[in-house]
Amino acid sequence: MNKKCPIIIVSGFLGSGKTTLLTQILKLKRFDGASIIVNEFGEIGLDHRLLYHIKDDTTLLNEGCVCCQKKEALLDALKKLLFSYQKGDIPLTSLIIETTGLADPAPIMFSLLSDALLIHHFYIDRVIVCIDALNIRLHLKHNENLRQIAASDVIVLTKTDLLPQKFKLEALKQKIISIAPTATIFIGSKKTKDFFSAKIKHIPKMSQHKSHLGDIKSISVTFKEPLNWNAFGVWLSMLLHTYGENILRVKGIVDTKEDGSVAINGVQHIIHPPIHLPSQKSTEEKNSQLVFITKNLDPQKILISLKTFEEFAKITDK
Amino acid sequence: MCVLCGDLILNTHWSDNKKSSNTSVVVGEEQRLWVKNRREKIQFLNKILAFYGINIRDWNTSKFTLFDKKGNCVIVNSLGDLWQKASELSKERMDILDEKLLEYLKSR
Repeated sequence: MNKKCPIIIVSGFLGSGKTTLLTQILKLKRFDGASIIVNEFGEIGLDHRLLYHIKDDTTLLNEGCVCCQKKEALLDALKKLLFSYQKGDIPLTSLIIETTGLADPAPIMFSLLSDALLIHHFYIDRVIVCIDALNIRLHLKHNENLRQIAASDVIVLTKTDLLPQKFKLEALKQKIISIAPTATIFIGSKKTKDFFSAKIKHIPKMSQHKSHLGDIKSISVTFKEPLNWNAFGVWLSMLLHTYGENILRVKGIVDTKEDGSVAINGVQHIIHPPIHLPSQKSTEEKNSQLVFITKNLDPQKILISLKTFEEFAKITDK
Repeated sequence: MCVLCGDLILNTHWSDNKKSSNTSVVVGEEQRLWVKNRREKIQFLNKILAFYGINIRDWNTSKFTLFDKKGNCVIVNSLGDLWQKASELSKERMDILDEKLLEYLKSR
């Protein structure tokens, strides 16, 4: 494999339209050589039978969720696919994982990113989360759904055709943005092509946004001067060690004095391998921007801590 | 694999890797920078860990060793397992948001 195989995680709460979306996605030409892993909570899986009609290369992992009890099964399934690819049995141009409705995508990403073999062959391209626009109020009461939304890169609002005319879609969008400010939101699952052409945003458009949900809070921080990467690594690793559960998402761009900046993307305890962005034109403003989305944690405390630490790093640096 | 203890080093910590995954790296090319960054990290870490009465040292640029004042020692692979082990060694919660720790850092 010259390039790593992209993994697309399709998640969403129970009954939010994940399988329907998947059947539509699979019609795209780019997924001709894709393999699929479907995870179901129940003892008897049904989704994979629906998908068999479209793709016979579907692996079912049932009786438990791959984010907790079935972690090993997922890693084994991925290794099996990798070996089949290496033998020349399957093309494996990409891999789609459909999670259960109760899965938290973060531990799944962690399993993938911390496996010594798989990390060299796969990377997580994007997390697509389906949101049932009709029942979102009910679903948001569940922590699992909040974690799914916070971990998403692309959000697809499903069942929008069933909404009453008076429904305020814009208000719903704002609510979602407060949990996932960097996600791209699509209304309806028709424009499947766009889900994959949408560029992953590193920082949200707005600088400040208020959360619409009590215990979920977010904060964006801008640093005009470059950050010390080593100090930042120490600080963030310490923060995530203690508060990983409370930090639903960290995203942003860090200017590290060097050419170009570094894009950071983290979900709870896990930080994706940072991406070095190509250097910007000298006329463009260079700064660091970070967004933290927290649950039951005052983001102001994070801000104070980071600023104190940066001051301290500057003094140590001199 | 670590040549000293035969332990498998399964992955690199995210903070040690900020290069694009597509860039090929010539062996030894970035060694100097890597060691420099490592030393700088140890410098920062020691200033924080001093608050908890522990100290971190480099071990042949492959691992780290954590010491408390009684001489107890723990081997650490990277920043990924450091905080857990430091917390066990010092019997304290490693909390970067702790006001007392921040006050301590300001005073240094």
